[in-house]
Amino acid sequence: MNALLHVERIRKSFGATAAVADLSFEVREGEIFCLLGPNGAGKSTSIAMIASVLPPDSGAIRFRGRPVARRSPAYLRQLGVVPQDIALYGILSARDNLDFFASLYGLKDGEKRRRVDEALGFAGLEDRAGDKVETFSGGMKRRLNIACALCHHPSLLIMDEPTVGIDPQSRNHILESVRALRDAGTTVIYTSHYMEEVEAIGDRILIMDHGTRVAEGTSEALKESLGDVRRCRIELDGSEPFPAESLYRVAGVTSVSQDGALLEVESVRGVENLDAIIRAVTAARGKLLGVTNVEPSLEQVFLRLTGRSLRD
Amino acid sequence: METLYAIFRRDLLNLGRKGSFVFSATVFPLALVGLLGLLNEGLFGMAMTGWDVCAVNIMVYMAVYSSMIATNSFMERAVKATNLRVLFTPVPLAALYLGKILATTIFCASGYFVDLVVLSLLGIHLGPGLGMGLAPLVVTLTLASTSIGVLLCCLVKDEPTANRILSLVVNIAAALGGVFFSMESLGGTAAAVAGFSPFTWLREAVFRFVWDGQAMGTAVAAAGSLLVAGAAVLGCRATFKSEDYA
Repeated sequence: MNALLHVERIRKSFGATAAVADLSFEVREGEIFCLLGPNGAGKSTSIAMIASVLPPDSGAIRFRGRPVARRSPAYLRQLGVVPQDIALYGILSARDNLDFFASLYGLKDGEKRRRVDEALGFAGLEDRAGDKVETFSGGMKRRLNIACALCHHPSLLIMDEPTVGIDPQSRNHILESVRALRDAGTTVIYTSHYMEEVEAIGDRILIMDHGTRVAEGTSEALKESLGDVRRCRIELDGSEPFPAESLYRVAGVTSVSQDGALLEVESVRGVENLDAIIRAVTAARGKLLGVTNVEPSLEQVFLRLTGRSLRD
Repeated sequence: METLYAIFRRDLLNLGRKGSFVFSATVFPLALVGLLGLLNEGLFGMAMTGWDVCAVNIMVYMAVYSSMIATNSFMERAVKATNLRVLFTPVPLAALYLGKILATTIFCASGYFVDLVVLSLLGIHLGPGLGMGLAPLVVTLTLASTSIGVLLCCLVKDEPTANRILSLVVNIAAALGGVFFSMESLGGTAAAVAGFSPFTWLREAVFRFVWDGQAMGTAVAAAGSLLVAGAAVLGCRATFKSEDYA
């Protein structure tokens, strides 16, 4: 795939604080490129710079190989931006909101009407097209918030935390819609601090923290970077401290940590030691309530690379 | 121009759908005239009554007061998100503040025109054509005021702060300019201070137009207002940055 967008060492500081520090990445045509990081990681600041709202202190952005001039109309016409906040006129209907934002891209008359109808269909709001947005549920507003960025058929759709504060049904609708857009040829930059979403839709993922790149790759590649480690979580019958040394005697065990009644045990992948671990726990405690195999996750990748949780 | 028109139209409709703004531009001036007219009813002569004086004072005051509606429509929290969204589109930056200035001016001036007609129909003397002779001054003064309101938002980047500053400056200047009570009655020093308030000049110009038919003062005031508006728009151009919304 060709690179659609090149971001080269962009930097933005607010006072003495660097919100984004020398961040570089490329977004390939037709992919869903996710920016994953906790709140305050610099995702929205990066998006604002890519969307030409915030000028970078240094660095460059290139679109289809050409440097992007600040607020270049030709460039902005190629972008669709879904802001993190709901950016709709509550006193207007869904159709009027779409109509207004479509008109700002120069769409007119029949073409505009067709695109507005299409966007209403995308948002699943055909039957509420004439209703005021202030009467909509949070999920409906979120869907319309996305649809308003689509009427002009952008080649690059930038979505900044588009599922914040909505119900699972609306979230699934949005995630499926994003995949459908990608399948139809739209390139998507998707920011989130929900690793489940990013794992579900991201073709490639860039993990950010403190304005810098922590890691980048496909979900599988990032998880493989955790190394040959297998984890199991054991639920104890009580939260008293567990004598970890009894587990370190089991072959293959490399790490033991306890959080209340939950015991997490890391072992070298390939060493079949689950029976021995369970025996060691029951010998020390007499009873355990459950054992879960913990699949590697982006949460663990983030924890391993930054020493803290995505939700911290 | 098409995008500017689209933004202007949207802003105008938004203003018209907000009850508090409609109240501010129509009922509030009439209520103020009513209140101050009653208080000043017997203080002036038979030819020019207290009602006539208060109506002129309040209509000038309201035109200048429009700046606070402009700040609201430009940077109030509720509209910031949609304004930011407009900045993601390929419209020129100027369309955003020009749209607000023009929409607020048309909206407020329309309300004041209705007030001028209503007051004239109630027997208050506001000059020829049911007070519509004052229309050019009302429009240009409102335009200058809304432009300054938007410029102040660009400078301080915060609507509540801009409103606090404007409220303070407008009300002090109005009080010194004799809008709410006569400064002459407070003695020679107060009368001399009043001479520095633009409200004094504006009121003088309007009174000359309404009572003596002399349009020079209002014409100068209207031309001055246009110059102020032009300077404020240039100031907006120099100071408004898209990152103010980010």
